[in-house]
Amino acid sequence: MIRIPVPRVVLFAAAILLLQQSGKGARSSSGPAEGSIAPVFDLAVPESKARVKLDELRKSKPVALVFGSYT
Amino acid sequence: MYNDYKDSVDFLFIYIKEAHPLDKNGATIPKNKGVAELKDPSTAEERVKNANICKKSLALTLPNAIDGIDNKTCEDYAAWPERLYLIGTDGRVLFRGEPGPARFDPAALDAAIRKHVSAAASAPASRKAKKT
Repeated sequence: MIRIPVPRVVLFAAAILLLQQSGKGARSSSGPAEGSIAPVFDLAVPESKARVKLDELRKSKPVALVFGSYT
Repeated sequence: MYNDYKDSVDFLFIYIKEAHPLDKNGATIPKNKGVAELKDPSTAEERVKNANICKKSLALTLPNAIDGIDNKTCEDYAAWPERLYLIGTDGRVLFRGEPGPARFDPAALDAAIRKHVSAAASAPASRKAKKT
């Protein structure tokens, strides 16, 4: 069998990356996990000059976010 | 669901990039019959225009907002093409739905809201007082 030498620093970096991805609160391409801090946003409101911020919206009640488009 | 829970949960529809925009040749990918054709916007103004078409066409009654032209919020939540979340008052994710359309599941959000609402209702008064 052919063994390809892998520098220790590369293995260490890969291990750290895996630990970060599997830890509670990690965010990945799957979106923020349950229990993790939700990414904040500050977004425009249609037909209005108002803005909507997650930090302000969630103060009094939980917030259900519905992401979508028309097509 | 919005009418059922709007007293205990705030809802926000976030308009994100189109799932099936017109491509450069003028065709949607795939073609959605009976649905207005929208171009992928290149400016914030174009996105707002699309969002307004979406709001009117779907007769949205939910409070709504528009993702920036940089798609940051969509990317932060891995939300494209459609997805549901429930965020707690402490800023943490209480529920993360699976991406749509195949795994878009409003019933799962409904269950998460009921779980949260019942948990909040049964919390001791002293715990509730500490939060305020």
